[in-house]
Amino acid sequence: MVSVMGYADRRSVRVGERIQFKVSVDGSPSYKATIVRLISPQSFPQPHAPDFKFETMACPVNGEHKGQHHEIPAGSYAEIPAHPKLSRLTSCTLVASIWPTLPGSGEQAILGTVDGSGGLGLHLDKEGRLALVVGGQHFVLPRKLRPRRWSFVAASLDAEAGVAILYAREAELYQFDTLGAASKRFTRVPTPAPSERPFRIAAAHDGPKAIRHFNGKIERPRVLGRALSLNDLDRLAPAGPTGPAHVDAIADWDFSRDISSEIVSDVSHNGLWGRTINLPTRAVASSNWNAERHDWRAVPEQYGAIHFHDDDIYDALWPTAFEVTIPDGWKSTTYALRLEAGDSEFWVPFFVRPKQGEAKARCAFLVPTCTYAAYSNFRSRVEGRWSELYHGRVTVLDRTDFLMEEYPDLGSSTYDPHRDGSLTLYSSMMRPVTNFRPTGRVYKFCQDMFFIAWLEHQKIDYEIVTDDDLHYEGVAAISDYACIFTGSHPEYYSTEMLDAVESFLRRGGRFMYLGGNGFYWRTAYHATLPGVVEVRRAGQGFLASDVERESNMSFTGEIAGTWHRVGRPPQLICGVGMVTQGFDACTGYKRTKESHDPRAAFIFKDVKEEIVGDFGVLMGGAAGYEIDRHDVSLGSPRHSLRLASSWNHTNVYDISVPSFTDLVPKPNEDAPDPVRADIVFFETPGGGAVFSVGSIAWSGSLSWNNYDNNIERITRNVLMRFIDPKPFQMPVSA
Amino acid sequence: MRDREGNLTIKIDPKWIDLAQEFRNKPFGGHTPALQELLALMRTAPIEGRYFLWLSKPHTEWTLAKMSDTRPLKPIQVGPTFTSLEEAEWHVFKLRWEQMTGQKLPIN
Repeated sequence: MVSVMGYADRRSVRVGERIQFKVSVDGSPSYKATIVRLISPQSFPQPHAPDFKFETMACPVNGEHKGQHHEIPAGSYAEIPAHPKLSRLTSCTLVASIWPTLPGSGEQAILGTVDGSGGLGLHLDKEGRLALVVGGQHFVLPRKLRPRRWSFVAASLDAEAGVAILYAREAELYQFDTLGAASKRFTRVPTPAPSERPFRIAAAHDGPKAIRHFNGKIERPRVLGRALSLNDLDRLAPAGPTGPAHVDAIADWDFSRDISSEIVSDVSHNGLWGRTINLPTRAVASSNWNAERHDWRAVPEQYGAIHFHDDDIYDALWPTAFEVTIPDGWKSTTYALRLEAGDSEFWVPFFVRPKQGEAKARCAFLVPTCTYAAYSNFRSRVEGRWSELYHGRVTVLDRTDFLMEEYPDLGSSTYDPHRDGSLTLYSSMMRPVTNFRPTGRVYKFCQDMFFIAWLEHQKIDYEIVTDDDLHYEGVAAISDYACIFTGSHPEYYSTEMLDAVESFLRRGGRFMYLGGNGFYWRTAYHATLPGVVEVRRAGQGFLASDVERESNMSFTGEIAGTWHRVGRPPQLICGVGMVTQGFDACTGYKRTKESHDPRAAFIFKDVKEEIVGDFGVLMGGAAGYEIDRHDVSLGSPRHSLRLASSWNHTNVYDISVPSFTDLVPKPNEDAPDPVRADIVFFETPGGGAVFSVGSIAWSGSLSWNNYDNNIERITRNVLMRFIDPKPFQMPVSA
Repeated sequence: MRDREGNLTIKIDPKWIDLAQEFRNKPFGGHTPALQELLALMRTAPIEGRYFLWLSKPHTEWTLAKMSDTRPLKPIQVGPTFTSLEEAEWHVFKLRWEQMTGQKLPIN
């Protein structure tokens, strides 16, 4: 079967800038590449939905290309460049504390230079027993290491005598059933041959490739320059991971340093620094964590472990197949590289912005690339047991969805467990992403294409800004525009992004939140690595078990979790916040008395109906999928107007309520149902304003009746007023 | 209820035809609590071997498929092919009913 896949080095590119594409084709010597402008998504073939529409751009890269298959080098480890002090080890001791998660599932390297029959290393053998690997031989301590238990492990090698000692001892902190020290002495151990390979922690070599990845945590790995005796090891084992460099250290890597970076710091005097590959998880509790703090910045010495996974992937590192410099004249909108080979098709969307300082439109579509990254390769939709329950219907999947099964090294999203059961915290776009496309499930990017289809159909002048731009450039990314509008699901927000939107509003900007479950999870971008985000699910333990004690971001140190948990609920910025989810059916909204307030007159101009959005190509209504409601007690501005509310959501929506909120049942017949989406409007002190719809499904109603409907009218009414420079006035009562 | 391995811990009574009829009339949308509980059981079986719909033509044609019994999961198209999601949903309901009760549903 032929499979073609690709990715780009960036999502956002200005006119005049360059974007590089990486392509792999499996089962075919060539593939076809076409750069297209995307106009509308592949959605439901019904009269009210736009047809799938894209047009080919004139571009020299269009056409057949010779291709080849590239592997995805999944699996994280740390690497220290080859150095004589590490490559010519003779008598020495290899030391670390480890917390293995999958002992017994294949051989796993803890540290060393093992490459085939060469090198020297401390490994777990395929049975989960500690092994000294030298000269292609394994010297094995008979005890199996237990999963998720900290053990001090060491291999001491006296090369002159040909004697080695293997040693393991479980840490005792908070455990009553720890296993004491076990050791074994070996004779006739060969002297290790010099190795020119880099020194690796958590992987061995197969030529340049990394293999035998370790699953679990490692802390304070060290190479000591002499063979420690059994007495030495008995003294060192309970000493813990803190303290200065060992007096005999050739290298002594302290992972409690430089936690936010890829740097692996050597605290010995030799300066044998290295870096992590494929973003293993940092800022994780180490063996001495004492239950006093959750913030690794306060007690870095208790977060001096790194959790490695054999399915970590940051960058597939494929060579650039071709690059495109965006020519003058290309409109700021959505584009994609379309790849075809045999019956396989793959899309690599990207977004073009105007040149710096040349923005012309009054409004911009803020494309939620941060959310796309958090969801990239959302494996649980295929493999997860609960997906069908939450969606209230049998799961629909296609060939592209199954690429994650055909090529497991494509990795996971922040919703998915690693192979060892720990939750994925980092999610990258520097790899093929199966759910970032204008086809397949009409959700996320595919659904956001409804906005582009609407803008194009109505000939509204707009430009594009992405979350990535907002994060890196702050308010400057959007300050050329009078109005910014979001996509259908801007769920993931970094502090920088949220600050930029707030700053924009304070200086008179207008903001349309045209989705649901927005501004929900605090998200962190890496300081130096592009295209990757971090999410930690603190406060929602239903996704993972160890979220609380590791509840600060490794990338930034910030408190992690929902913005509500952090203390900055979404209601503050947009007047509404997440209630629940359900994907089986959508409803409309009933207007409230407040919708007839003169302040809202512009919104409902030419809208006669009291019920709006009771139609739509997404399950029959504008209100649904994931829904938000107005709540002054959680931060909705007191002067905000609740203009309309949905009602009568199905009981699939009730299933998720306990996961997100502790809603009480509807108190009386006249009170609004707490399971509802609200449309909200409010003004801001600087002459700006906010309009929120509190529903992911909103965009699916725009095209109804050939774009002649009350949802389209409301959206356009708001947009037209929001690009009008006339300032909004705060109401007297506010 | 299901246990940790996904096995049913309660017996589905084949006499609950009224729930099947309710689902037949309205596969998507609000359901009675009893039907919702039954659907929750049907929709939370282990993923290995579970039915799903293979999108055989974009948003117009769906083929009944099963996940392989082992991971990595492979799609096994078993048919039939549907042009209506409601019909596909009802077909899967009938198959699961038979799996859970040991009896065919007496309604079409």
